[in-house]
Amino acid sequence: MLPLAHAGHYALWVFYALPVFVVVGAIARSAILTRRAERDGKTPES
Amino acid sequence: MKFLPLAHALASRQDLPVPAWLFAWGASIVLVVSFFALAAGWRSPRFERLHERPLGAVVSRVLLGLPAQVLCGAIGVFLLGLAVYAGLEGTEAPDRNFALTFLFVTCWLGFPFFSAIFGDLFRPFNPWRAIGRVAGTGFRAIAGQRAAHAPYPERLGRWPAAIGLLAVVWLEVVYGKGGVGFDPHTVAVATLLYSTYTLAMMAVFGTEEWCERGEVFSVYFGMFGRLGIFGTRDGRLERRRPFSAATTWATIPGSAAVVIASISSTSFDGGQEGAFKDGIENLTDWIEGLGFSLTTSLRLSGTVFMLLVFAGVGLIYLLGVRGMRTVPGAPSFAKLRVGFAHTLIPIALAYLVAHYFSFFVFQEQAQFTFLLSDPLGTGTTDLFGTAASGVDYTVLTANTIWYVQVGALLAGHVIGLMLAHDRALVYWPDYRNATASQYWMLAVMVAFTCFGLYLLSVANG
Repeated sequence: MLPLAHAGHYALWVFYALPVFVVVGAIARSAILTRRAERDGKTPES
Repeated sequence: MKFLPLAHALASRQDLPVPAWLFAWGASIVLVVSFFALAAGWRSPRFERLHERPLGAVVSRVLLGLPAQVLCGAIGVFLLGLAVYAGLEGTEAPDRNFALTFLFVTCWLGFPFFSAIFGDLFRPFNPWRAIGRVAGTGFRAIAGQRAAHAPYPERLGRWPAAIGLLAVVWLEVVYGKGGVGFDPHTVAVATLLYSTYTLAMMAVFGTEEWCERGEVFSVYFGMFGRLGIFGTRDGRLERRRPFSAATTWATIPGSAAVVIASISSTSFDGGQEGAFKDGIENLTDWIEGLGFSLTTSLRLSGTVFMLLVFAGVGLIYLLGVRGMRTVPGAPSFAKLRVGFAHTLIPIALAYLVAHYFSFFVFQEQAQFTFLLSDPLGTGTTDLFGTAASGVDYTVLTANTIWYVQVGALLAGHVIGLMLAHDRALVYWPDYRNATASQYWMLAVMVAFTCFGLYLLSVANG
């Protein structure tokens, strides 16, 4: 079996995972901003 | 005639206008847009009440009356008996024997598909429930009193059904991998063993109690039935708002495990010849190197991967629940875990449709033609004159299958998102907090959608 022969095929998962990374990243960023704003005593940005 | 009874997804390449992964991006965008649309326009719970409307008394009397109950129960018992008989006495060729297609396609897929539309269709046809009720009636007539059953342990909840569900799928896709050991005779024996176990449990805990919590098929099909538009209450048939009955389904312990088992077992089956293939093969080689036979190694590696997928799906859900806990005013982790489990039911259905829709369409042609005419597959009977019929594989094109798969996954996840948003409005009276809590469920839905499309694209490619 030649694993590298399938590398391109299986690397495809990155394209499927990208939307998940984007959504999770956006949520994490929003959570960090909210926490920072609460710590500074400001109303978080909406 | 090309006929692959155990190949769940036809591996045919589509001719799509854009790369398949772009569908995952498109689906994710639809989910995000749906999320904001729900946040903007849906500010009070709508599914917490069934909004039921009773159907006419005559309709209820005819469909729920004793004659109908007896008839449906008798049909269920007859078909179970036929499947067992065909398995024991019929041909060993799985594609020609009534037992496998009837049990693993017509029932296993048909009841979820149709129950999700019409409500729980299995309950009236449940052969074990029918036998249990007859036995209970007989006992009352002879003993002059109701049978005394042991109280069902509350903490056990639906765990027996969750474990049973994994066991049924394990029998089909791990034990029977490559057709080894998975023949009509084995399935018939397994069915007899399961029937004995079920009837024993019914005798101990009571027929209805066991069907509600422990009986695999009642719990599994009933779960999908909660999405449907018909239900019963106080002996009357009623029409209810679609999906609304699902909101009360997960209150019994272990319910989340049932729906996670459903998603994970479908995912495993869809991925074992695609996305997980290399991993399974490597693990099989490693186990074989320890001195086990090839068949044992295959089964062990399949078991490990199946459990890993179950753990992975459960972990994604629990991460979403953990995220919700960070939102101000959140209930306890345990309450959130139970409270949002029902939002996974449409996803479990979507995975079933996406992975098995084409298989179901093809196999039902066999079921209602040659398998019905020649149930034993011996070539000596032709009850309805259709024993010589075949399966028309041109009835669905590869592109049609793909679009149905994408559509099913998308619809299932949007409905899941909708149910989650609705439940969040119950737990967080401030709709802004409710919306914030659902960022996490949005991530869960996007993850399951992309994962599902990835499994399908690898399986099809």
